[in-house]
Amino acid sequence: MRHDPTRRRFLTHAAALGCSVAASPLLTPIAMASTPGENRLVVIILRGALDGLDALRPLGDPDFAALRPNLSDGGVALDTGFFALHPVLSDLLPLWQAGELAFVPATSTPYRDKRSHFDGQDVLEAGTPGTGPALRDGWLNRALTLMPGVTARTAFALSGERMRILDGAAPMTHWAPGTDLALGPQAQLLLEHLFTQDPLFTEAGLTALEMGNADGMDDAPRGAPGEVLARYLADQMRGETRIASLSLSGFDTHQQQANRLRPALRNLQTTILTLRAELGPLWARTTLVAMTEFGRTARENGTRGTDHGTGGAMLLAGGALKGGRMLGGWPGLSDAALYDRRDLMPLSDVRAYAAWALRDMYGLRASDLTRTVFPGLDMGDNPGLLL
Amino acid sequence: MYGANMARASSLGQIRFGLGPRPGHAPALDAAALIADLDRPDPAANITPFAVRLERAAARAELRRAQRSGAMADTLAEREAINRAEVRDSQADLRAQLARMVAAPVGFRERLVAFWANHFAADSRGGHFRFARASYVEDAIRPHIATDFATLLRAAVTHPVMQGYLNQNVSVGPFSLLGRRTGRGLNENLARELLELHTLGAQAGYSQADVTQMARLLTGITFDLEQGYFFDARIAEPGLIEIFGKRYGGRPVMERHVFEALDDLALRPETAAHLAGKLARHFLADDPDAGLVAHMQARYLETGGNLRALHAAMLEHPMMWQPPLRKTRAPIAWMAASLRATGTAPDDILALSGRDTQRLLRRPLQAMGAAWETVPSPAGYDDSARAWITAQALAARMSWAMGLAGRLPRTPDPSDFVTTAMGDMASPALLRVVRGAETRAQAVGIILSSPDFNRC
Repeated sequence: MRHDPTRRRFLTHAAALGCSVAASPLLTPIAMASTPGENRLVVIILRGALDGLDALRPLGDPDFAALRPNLSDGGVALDTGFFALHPVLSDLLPLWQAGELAFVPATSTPYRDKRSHFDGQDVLEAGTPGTGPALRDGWLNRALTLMPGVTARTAFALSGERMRILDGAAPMTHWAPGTDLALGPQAQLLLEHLFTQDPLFTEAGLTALEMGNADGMDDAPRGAPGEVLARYLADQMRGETRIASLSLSGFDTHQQQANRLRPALRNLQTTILTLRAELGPLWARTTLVAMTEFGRTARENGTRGTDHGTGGAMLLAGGALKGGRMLGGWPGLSDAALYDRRDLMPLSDVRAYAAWALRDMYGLRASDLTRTVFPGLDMGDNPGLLL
Repeated sequence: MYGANMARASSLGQIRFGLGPRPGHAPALDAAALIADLDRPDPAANITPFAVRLERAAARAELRRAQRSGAMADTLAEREAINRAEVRDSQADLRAQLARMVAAPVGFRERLVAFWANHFAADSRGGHFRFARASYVEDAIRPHIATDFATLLRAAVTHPVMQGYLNQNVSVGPFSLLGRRTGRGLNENLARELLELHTLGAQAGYSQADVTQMARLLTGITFDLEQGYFFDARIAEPGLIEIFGKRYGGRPVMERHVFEALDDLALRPETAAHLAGKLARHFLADDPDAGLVAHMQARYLETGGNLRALHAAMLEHPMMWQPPLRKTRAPIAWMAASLRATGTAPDDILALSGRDTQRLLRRPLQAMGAAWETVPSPAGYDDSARAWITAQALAARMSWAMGLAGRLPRTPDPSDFVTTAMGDMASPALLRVVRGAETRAQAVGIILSSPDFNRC
């Protein structure tokens, strides 16, 4: 456990340098902040457009097998009798049985027709009705602006790249675990001293020193990327972090999907299972949602893959979830039921489920959610996500 | 103490307006010297011409067509070969740009190019082109930073990278030949950003109707993969289009009508205020003195929107030569400043392998929050002093600085190095701390990581 090594270390080092500890701007906000409650939300962005029809196979749909001659072989049947998990996701079955896993099998963002990854991800993370000028910050950051007692550690973006979903006015921490500074104690001490001399650098500098040196990641992190991220995140969530976002990639499977989707799905599963294991009792206060920019074509293409589509699946997991069920209905896969006669028809807006989760977990008002967080969203009927 | 003040102004100028000092080069620096630097011919650098990016985009499209029509069974290998060349050239562009920044006598031109490239923020992700941002900046921005703003504006908004980024090439006049036949219509993206970001500014008080009018007028501005930018009369909206009380256009539709409107936008007082304020915020402080901005704005309008005059008006204002340093260096500018201070030879940068370019330049830039060839939005990177200073970005800077310090063939004496790097702009705290480092390399790394060296 490492709650505030910076403060401890900083105390000793500041004393050694003869600075005034009382004047340190680092000491007060951490000690005095109230928090936005005990519930924890993790948003996973699946970059590259996950094929929902492969991750969650509608084996009971009479048209499925014909659309997917090479991509419908088996799976782990769920008790709905209609859907089966991709074989690689078999370790998620116990979560389904325990009511800790749910899917929205046919959903999407409001983004339509252009099917560009970048625009699609922008819309997904901005939470806007479409592309265009509109908002330049992310929906999760706008949600933070509505919560009390938010500090920089309340929300975490775990990524080497800037994550738009958490960009914005509310404070947050952006960090890629495994950033290894490997500074010696003396360099660390001198830099701490310098960063405290310039207010613009103090918080960011001390946080960087703390995380880069004392996060138990002094060696290159081992394990699957999802496992590394999840372990690091669980550590933060045992502390002050309540909201986090991370992205997993590798879902853009235009060719040989049977082989190429496997590692990406396995990574997603590992992320979920590692978080669950590492969080222990806190899993009961945690909800995880995984969403992607759009789905893929209903039909397999000529290279045993699938191309950019529209409707796809969203995954929800967590100890507080009322799971073990499918949300939002199923449109069918007949030619007439498809969107544009090519893609799975989305029956709902992914933003609605994110909005209900935010409402149920943090008490945000529906009016704020549909005005500030997701402008123009119709939240629809309450899906009763949580226990 | 006239001499001491001059020396101080000189180091301040190199940091505030340039890319920081190099060992053995301490040019006496004032406004006139900076403008003279700008008037010198721009030394050529080997950045991939946009024509090459265009050719490759055409070749990719051709291969995709061949595959779809069945003329070729599988074009993946050919397309991957093209894409490998694109990546290789993008890495070479990064090395060439950084080497040029390190070689520059002062680097004022490089700072201005970066400023105006961020003003006209565009990248090529997700469109026809890959890694074409450096080519766009080289072709459309760099040659025009000391001419009339109208020239720069025209070059930027008609460039295929900008058009692709803001969807201008799919905008069709509803009453144009093609619009009437196909039912296709306007895309307002470029028109909106042209008013909000490129010219008048968000504060200027124009309406949605103005945006729509501008979008109608911009139709015809398009590109294809054979010729790049061209004006296509078949998609241009015919008839007179009124914008801010003036009528443009008419029949026949002409490219000239669009350029007239751009020229007028460039000379509006709102545009002058927007550009002057943004430039002063970039080089001086997040909250620049109103008198300074008014002075720059007035000179811009007096000179018919001339950028050289606007830059000179900024440089000659006494406020611009006052300490302290209140802004922070952008990632690539900080990298260049570090390489300059350590006396790294531009040729050593050009000689980096692809793998080392990735490891030592590209990935670190991304971790510092400014991935090569990308922009976060049409508004560009946030230009406030605070924006670059996040924990993740600072960790990346420290890590890179320590790595560079450890790789130097001859590690300089820390006390000499702090003078080389900062002139006489180092804080007493930095001077003290340098003496406390365990090794010379550690001291160099700490100086490059310090708040002092991150400021500009």
